[in-house]
Amino acid sequence: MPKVLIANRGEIAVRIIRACRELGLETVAVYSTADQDSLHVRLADEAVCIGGPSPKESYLNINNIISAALATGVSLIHPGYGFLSENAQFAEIVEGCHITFIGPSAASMRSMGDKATAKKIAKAAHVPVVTGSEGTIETLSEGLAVARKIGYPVMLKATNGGGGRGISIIRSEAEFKTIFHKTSLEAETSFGSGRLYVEKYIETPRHIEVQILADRSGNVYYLGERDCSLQRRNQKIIEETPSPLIDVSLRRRMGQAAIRIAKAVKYLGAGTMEFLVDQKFNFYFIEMNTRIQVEHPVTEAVTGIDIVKEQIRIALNQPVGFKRTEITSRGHAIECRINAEDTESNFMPCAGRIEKVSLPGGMGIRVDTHIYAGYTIPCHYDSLLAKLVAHAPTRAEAIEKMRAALKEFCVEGIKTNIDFLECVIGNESFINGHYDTGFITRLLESAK
Amino acid sequence: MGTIIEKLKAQNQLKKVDSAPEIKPRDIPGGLFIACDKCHGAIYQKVLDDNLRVCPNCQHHFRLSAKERITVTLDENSFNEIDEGMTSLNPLEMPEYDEKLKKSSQLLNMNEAFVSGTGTIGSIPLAFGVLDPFFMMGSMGSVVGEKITRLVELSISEKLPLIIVAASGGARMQEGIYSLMQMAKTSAAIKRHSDKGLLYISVITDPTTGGVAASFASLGDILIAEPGALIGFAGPRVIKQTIQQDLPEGFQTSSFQLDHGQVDIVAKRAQIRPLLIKLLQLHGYGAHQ
Amino acid sequence: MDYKRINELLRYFEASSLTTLHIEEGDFKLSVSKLDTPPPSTHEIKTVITNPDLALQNPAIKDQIPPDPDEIYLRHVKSPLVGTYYDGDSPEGSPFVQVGQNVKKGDTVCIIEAMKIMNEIAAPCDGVVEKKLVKNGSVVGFDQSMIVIRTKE
Repeated sequence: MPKVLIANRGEIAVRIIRACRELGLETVAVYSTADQDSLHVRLADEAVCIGGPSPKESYLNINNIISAALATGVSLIHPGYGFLSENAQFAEIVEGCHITFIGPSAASMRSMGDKATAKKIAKAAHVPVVTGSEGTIETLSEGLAVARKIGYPVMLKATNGGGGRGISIIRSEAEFKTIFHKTSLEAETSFGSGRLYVEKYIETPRHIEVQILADRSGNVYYLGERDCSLQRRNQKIIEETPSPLIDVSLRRRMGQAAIRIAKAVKYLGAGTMEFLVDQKFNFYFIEMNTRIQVEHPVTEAVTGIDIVKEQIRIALNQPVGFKRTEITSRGHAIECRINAEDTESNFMPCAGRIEKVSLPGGMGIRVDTHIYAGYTIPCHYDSLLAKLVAHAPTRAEAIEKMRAALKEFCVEGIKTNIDFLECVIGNESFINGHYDTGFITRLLESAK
Repeated sequence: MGTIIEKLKAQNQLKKVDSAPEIKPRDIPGGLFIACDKCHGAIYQKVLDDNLRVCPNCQHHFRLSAKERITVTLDENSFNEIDEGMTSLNPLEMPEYDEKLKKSSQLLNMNEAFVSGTGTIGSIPLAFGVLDPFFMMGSMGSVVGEKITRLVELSISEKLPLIIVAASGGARMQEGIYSLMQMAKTSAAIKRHSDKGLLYISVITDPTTGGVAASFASLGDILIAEPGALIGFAGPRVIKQTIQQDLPEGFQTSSFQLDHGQVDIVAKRAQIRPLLIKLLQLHGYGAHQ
Repeated sequence: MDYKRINELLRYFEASSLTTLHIEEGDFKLSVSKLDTPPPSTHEIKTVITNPDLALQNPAIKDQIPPDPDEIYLRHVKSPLVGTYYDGDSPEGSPFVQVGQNVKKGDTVCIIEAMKIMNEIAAPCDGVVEKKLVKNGSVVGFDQSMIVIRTKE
């Protein structure tokens, strides 16, 4: 029986193990010493400890993960999201050991992982991009020249960045001069490269991303979009599909644009193209995520397609479990990210022991989580506790369902953002679908 | 016998799994990963190659073959080899010398331990030579000495700057006094080179010892050493036995030699090419055309 | 006696079945008790730890496991890597050490193979091989206990 090693932790590791089980594949979990009691370790068929608590010692430790994979005789590795999922060197080494990497090739990962290169590829595929520097800027004066040309406000972004980090908004030349070196240093520390590029900053945009699946025969399927505009400090909090803002025509054009880009790099597997949509409903490609994303469940809810299973099928060169003509979008789905954080203390992440857990349920409610009563949250990783998804025939109903589910969701022992999520879901602007990427920030400002 | 659940489960099972299936580790081709000589960490070969064969973990500098050294130092495709056909004889009729020579040349696809020629670096033309530590320990015999001398003479006649990369265990034992003679020969050639006011940069890598260290390798106008290289004349054991004293910490390493004035600069492999270009430029050697 | 060591000893005490603990180091004295009534006078205390370092040096003791006084003398050889454990220098090789054998600090006691590279694992101390916890040829993870060595002190 083919075996899969899941090179990740937390809720996504649980998610992947479930998909593997359904496909009849054996699973190997890897874990750090801090994750010994983690749910994914208990669920997998086998588990190997791969290092100390910090990500560098464990979940980013390529040697130890490869060694675990070879020693347990796996034939596939699923990297999840974050950690090594977009590390081309890792993908290359995995394939070099004749293990199938569940994801795109190292080459396409490299080209799309470099944001400046990705933009060039998009442009060549006739996909609109945000105006900005041609590739990365080497010096402050180069950056200033680009900014002068495209006009302030501009964004300074790390070319190897991700997860919403390594981004600065600059409104004047003076600000550019002070922020430039700081941002470069931050990027170097977080992503290993201080290379930056400049982009026009679009005021109050909507952040809309498109999910695609590409198989080994060159077919690229477009599974709809997700509106991820509700962000705090570039971290997504609530996602929904379909986007309340875009119409059928815009949806089709964005989907086709995404497919063109995927074909241009001969993409394989699941991927997401991120776009910004401005007040005039123009869309611009900003970057591509060459992995499964946190918010994939909302797409699964409305399409009925198990994206993780399809990732594995594609990796195994099996046909996907759906026909192109059958891809539809039924109803409306919303996802809330439930984090271990203290809303009142600037969303400071919390660690600690979860004393009690009570999860919502019922029709159209899905909870993806790794927490359980008695589980101690380690402090070394992100603060995501669970993803709560509500799916209903209409948006209004989905909102009601989410509101009820949030009320039912009970976690004792640590602070969570559940109350905050309830406030956002209950907000009039949200209910009317009138929000953009600045909404959460403005909301928090109003509560000061 | 058994509980209700056990009996029901037995009904569902089409095939009984007797015991935990034996885990079969995945076999990978040997040589895919290499252990660092210093920190023993495993390194993927391609990652090591991309990093100029320097351990990404502890920065230990692996030894480079002549071909690899040319690739990482000179401009792409700029190297034109000279004297490649020169092969060694066995004048002292040393046993097994002929076999060793044959084996090395077949294995490494080269005739001798020194590769010489012309090329460009940063578009600057130069005479370039490099010892291959894998060919009989990079040892200097008659052919190596002759090739070095011819390279020096070429650089004199063409007025080219000269760069020689050394990696050697010293003089070639099998050629006895002929090998030692090369020390004088190469040193004399370099003196003539120097008298013409031409620049000779010596790059010293791990290991640079014996007759090579005691002749041309130490005669550069500028001496650049790679970090962690063993640089010295006699081996540490011989020295210890002779002087009947313990050797100081770090004896015969690059940084030790730097502290004691034996080399001018210790530069990481990635820095060597830009450093050489800069030094040539500072000495007035410009790009061709 | 610094705060960290006091903290560790107290956790050790808490998890153990000991009811009272009295520590003396030079001028420093500490008495703790799990009993409601005041601790009995010193000469009735069952366990007196005169060297706090001894109690803390055993890396095998985890928080939840009540410390067996005997365990102080047991040192675990833990895996610094992930890979396949071999008793000898190759999959079929004869074992480096047997149970009951004397070892010196630095002796090779086993091999962990990772990516076809054989890594020798050295004994962390002098002592006698007490137990082998891992079967030859099985997968070992990071920090996994492989061999237990009984030290003299």
